Amino acid sequence: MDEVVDEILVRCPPDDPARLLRAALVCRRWRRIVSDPGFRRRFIERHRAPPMLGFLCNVPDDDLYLTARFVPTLDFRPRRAVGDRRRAVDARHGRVLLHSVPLDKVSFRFDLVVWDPITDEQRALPRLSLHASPWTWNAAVLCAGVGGGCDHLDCHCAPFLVHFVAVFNDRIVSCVFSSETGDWGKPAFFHCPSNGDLRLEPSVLVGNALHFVILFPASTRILQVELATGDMSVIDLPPTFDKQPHILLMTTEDNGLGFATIHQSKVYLWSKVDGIDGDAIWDLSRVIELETLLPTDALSVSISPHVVGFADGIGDIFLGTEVGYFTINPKTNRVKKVVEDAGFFGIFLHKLLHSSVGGHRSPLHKALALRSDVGLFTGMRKTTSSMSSSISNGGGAMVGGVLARI
Amino acid sequence: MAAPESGDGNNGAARMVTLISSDNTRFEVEAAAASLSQTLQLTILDGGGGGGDGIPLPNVDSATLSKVLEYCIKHAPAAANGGAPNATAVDRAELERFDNEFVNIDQSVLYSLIMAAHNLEIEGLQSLVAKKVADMIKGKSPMEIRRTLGFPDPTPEEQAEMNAHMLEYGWAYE
Repeated sequence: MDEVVDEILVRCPPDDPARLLRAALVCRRWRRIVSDPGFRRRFIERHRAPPMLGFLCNVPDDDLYLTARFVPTLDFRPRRAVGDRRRAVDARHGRVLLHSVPLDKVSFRFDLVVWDPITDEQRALPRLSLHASPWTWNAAVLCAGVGGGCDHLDCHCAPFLVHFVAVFNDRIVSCVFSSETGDWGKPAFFHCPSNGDLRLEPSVLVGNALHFVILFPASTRILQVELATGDMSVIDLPPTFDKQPHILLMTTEDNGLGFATIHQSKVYLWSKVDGIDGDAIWDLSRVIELETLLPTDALSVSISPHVVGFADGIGDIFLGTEVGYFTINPKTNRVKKVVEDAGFFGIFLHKLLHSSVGGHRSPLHKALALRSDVGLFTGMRKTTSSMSSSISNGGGAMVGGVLARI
Repeated sequence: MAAPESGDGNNGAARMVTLISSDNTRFEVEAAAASLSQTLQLTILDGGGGGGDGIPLPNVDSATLSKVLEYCIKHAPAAANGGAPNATAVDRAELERFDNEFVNIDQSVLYSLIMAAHNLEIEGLQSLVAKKVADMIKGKSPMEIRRTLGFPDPTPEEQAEMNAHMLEYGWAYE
């Protein structure tokens, strides 16, 4: 009666991945049932809201190399320590983009690896040859089915793209790696009015375009890169907020572009609406007063709360404070402490919409219909917080941009 | 006799059907309740089960059938309202309370119920008992799950296989 067992196991909640895994070990028959692709699909359809498995954060190791570590929020653990002098750059659609930090910490090399934290498969990208070291850079990993109707619920084995953007003086270069061709495509160029500093804040995917935070001497703006064409453009922020050095890009409830920023203990949530002439119009959609929501010690003046991440699909905003990390749901104002003071000062948290477990390592692995959201958290230890706050204050942005890439 | 309230039938009284368990016990029940079973629904629509005929259910014993019908009778009014979109919160809470108590039963009864719900294709009941078993294995090791569900002890070969997998997925056992 496989169908009966199927009916039972498909009801294991997705936020308890160990339960399904243990069930799969009960006997061969159960293992076979859970290993069936049809089971995985039914499981995903039944539990469409994926759970958050944890975060990846970049913390300095003993030799001060920024190294990615996994901070679990459920009982899932990746099969390997992420680190080994690899920094997490981005995470999306079940994949994590890692950058191997050069031994001397300052020379410029693009050793990028795409890693699936659940199946543990990884793929090293060919080194991107650039004529010079970029001023600052950022990159994004995403499912190649974007724009093609992929719902990213079960696409972890599908082809992926890595979008790389870098600033060289007054030029921005964008280049795309495709896992299908196994190589980087032709770079696209965009001239910007002045030297920009591409921030390490996570990019956000809205429709068919990636968005990165870029800091110009006079204002903070958003770099938009069209996936299909590689066309780049710059979006201005609302005038009263364009001097804000630290903003967090996010998707709005109706899948538009938005951003969050904190000013005087208030979280401001802005969403972009299209004006008649195609210009961006920003709408202040919410203001969340933190004083009434966070504990007093989280509202420290020395290290004031900062927005570090956004859980796409769940809608929670992540705040870093001196006493740990909190999530706030803008709809309900529900606050939850997710990480006690973990000994690092977080700067960003990327969202990884993981699809299902799958993979090819073993029949069991192939089986597990676990889905997850893994946040990616790029942080520094508190000892370096003075540096990061100086970055936030706009002073030394360039220094921060370079140092933070170490 | 059933109360003449459903209007299901020519004379105003609810139509009744007879179900016969594997041990030859006859159960007379409203057609609307028995129709929660997809398996029985077609037969009943064709006019079967009425009068002295009865529908034989050779795979379901009387104890289990009695339990199944208890569920069907309770859920039939809501099902008749198309999943009860107009049900009040009180009605829904009452059904939920009933469901929780309903599956709070001896394991042997629960397993008979799973099989009966599956054979008779009673969707709500299938879901209810499956969820109950899924809850029962929460936090248990593969061995504990085997014991809970009354599996025989694993053969040495099976045991070795389990151990190997458990080593590989150590995180699930912390």
